[in-house]
Amino acid sequence: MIEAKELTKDFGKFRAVDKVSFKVEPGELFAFLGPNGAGKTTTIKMLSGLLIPTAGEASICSVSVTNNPVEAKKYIGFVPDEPNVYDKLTLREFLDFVADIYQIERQKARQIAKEYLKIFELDDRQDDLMQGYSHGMRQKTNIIAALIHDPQVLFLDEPTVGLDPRSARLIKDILKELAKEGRTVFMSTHILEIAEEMADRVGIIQKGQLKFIGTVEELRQGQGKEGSLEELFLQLTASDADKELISHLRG
Amino acid sequence: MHEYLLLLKTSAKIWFTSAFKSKSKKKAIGTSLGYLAIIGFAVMWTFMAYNLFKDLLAMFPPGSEILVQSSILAISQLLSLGTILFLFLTGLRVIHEYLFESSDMHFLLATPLRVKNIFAAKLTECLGLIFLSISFMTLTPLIGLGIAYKASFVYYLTTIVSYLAGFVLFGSVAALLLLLIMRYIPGQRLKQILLSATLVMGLLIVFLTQAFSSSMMNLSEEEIIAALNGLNDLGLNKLSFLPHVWMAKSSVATLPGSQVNLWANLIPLLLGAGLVFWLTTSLSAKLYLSGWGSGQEVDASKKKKVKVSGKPIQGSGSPFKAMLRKELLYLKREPFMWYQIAVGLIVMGFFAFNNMKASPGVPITEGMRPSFIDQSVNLFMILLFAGLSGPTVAGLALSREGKNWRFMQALPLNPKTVFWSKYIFGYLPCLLEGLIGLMIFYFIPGVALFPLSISIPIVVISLAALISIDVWSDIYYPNFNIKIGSSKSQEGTGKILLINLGMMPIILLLGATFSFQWWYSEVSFFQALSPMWAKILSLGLFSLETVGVLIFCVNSSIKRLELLLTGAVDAKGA
Repeated sequence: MIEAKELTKDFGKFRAVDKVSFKVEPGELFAFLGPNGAGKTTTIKMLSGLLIPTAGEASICSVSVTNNPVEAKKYIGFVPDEPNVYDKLTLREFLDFVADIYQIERQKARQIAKEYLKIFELDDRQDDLMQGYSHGMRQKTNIIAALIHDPQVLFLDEPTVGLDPRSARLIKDILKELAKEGRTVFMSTHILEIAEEMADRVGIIQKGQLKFIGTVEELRQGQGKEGSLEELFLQLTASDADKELISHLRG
Repeated sequence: MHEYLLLLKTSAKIWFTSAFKSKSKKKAIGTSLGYLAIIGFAVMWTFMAYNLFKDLLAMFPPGSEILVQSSILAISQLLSLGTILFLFLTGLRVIHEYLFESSDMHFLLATPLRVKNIFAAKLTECLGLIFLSISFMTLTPLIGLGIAYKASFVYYLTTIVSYLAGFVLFGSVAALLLLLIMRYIPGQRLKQILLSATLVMGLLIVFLTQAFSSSMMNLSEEEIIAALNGLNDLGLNKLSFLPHVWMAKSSVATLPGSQVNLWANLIPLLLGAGLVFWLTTSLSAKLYLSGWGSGQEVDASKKKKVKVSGKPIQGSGSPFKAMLRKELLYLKREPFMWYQIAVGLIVMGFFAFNNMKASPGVPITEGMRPSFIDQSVNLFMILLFAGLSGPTVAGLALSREGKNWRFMQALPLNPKTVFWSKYIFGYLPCLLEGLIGLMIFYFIPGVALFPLSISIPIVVISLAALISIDVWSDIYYPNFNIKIGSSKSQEGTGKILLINLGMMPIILLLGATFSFQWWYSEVSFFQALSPMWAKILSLGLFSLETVGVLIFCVNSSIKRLELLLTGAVDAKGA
């Protein structure tokens, strides 16, 4: 379970995240949406222990991320927005490294890795140095590394960026399956179709403030209109000038 | 032409802004120190060259002007040849990085600018920067020569012009070769070949310069003149159709009393440079895009090209061992770090060899006690060489994570685990270098050295403290933007230079404290001390310094890492 209480982050005088509070329950697939620079990545970083909040509290499976980050991180799998890998390691060495960091049984880790490597068609590349990997291969590697310790909570920052349609589909299926098994999946995305298709609930953040949290249906009811998530999102986050421009462009 | 000039103007603006206009005070100070260090080195080289040439000119008996001129010309040709070799083997990698790996190439090639203009602007930019960065090594001897000769302003001008033209000529040839090679060799593989060639060349240069200075050490005036005669006999002057000879002749043509014709050499050099540059840029219109494309292509096929042993690692389940294993695998596969260590060992080897030559045939017998000062100096020279390799490895231990730092932050890692793995990563290669250096000194006869029972612990303890400073400095001021081994990573070079400058007084302090027991009686203030108390004070202070530094650096680094891992403090590039 993920819990954020009054989570706030200031960078100098700029408030990137402003008193954000919510809970994401086990078995839930949560999509975190917002325009560029709204505070999505900063929120994910605070929830996953990569950034200390200026105020407020974050906890994972009832462990405080702020006070006990090392313990909290044991429950987390994290896929960053930029897929970086250790160029001078092979994929096999990298996955072994991750497995040992999480102190998971080697046989179990190998079994999990084997399945994902096959799914993502990386099984015959695992002894190559990762310096020759493409963007998509790096992204897949990051995803496997985040899943190898069978985490209770999974954070994914734009997980489908750079993936081919087949791999993107696989990711979506895997995430749904993980949520079904009782894991908590927290995903940020700009692709609203993905959020609409997959998420149990969505959270919309704008200028650091949580504008909405609930199901897409609840968002429709709240806005008092039908339409796609994209339309509802724009209705909620676009300024009057933006709305005018959009309607002008649509003729 | 307009496109070419527009691109050059923009590049110059970007370069000027990043080099001189810094918003951060800390960065501005660092940059200024870096420039000061470069200027300092240039002045030092010029002064050394001036003294060398002044002494050399004084050696020749009156009436041997022809021999002097041909000797100066032969030396000048060796310099131009060395510059060209340097450009071809070291500069080739820089040219490759600028032409085929610049991050703005994607953008530029997508604009309606002509490919040959983009290529020409990039080539000009990188040749200009290579010229600026290595001219303090290549032009300073010629400036020293000019001062020794009391040459006029025209000499300095023609020297700069001829070297610039030489750079354009040979740089364009190198770019042309790269254009052709990139069509057939995949980008990653070429990068590895270029890196290896650069490092091998670097080692060779270190080895040859050390061998040269070693062989010149004990030469008499007659032997030096005989060597110059030998150089003249090689007939380098007769190879007037080679561009490096034009470079050398153009630069010495305006020296007072020179018989060399300036225009007969400068005009073909300028024409040659212009022609080859034009030819290369013209061909780039056809060749560049396909070569650049193949360089960008990542090997996503199922062919296994860069492969290492598929043997599975036996898991330990310990985060510390996992971290350490990762660090050691990196160390093993990073040639840049081994290069620094190899350079240190070569220099140490020659230092010991020269030491032996300085006292030939005097084996140290039981009856003769070697000077304690010599023993201390030799021991701390070993520490100096091994310690100065530290900044390259340990001084970038954390920064080396680069963009992977965010991944590292997300792992459930204890700051102590991160620190000790980084520390061992930095300490092991330097300790290895120190111990090998010690063995070199130990086995070369006639070199004064303490018994191994004293030398080994001193090297082990001192390096432990010195490396902890390197690791501490990197953990305190990490820079995750640094690209290890990249010639374009000026930030990395600056950081290593600053740590090196900071390390020298610490090594000197350790040396002075340890050898206090032998020099205290030279200072009137300490003369009242008995030898026993001097020894106790010396060893006590030495232990206090090393252990104190170690404890401070370890504790401070672990605290800082705790903040870095949780994002509580900002780090450059994180």
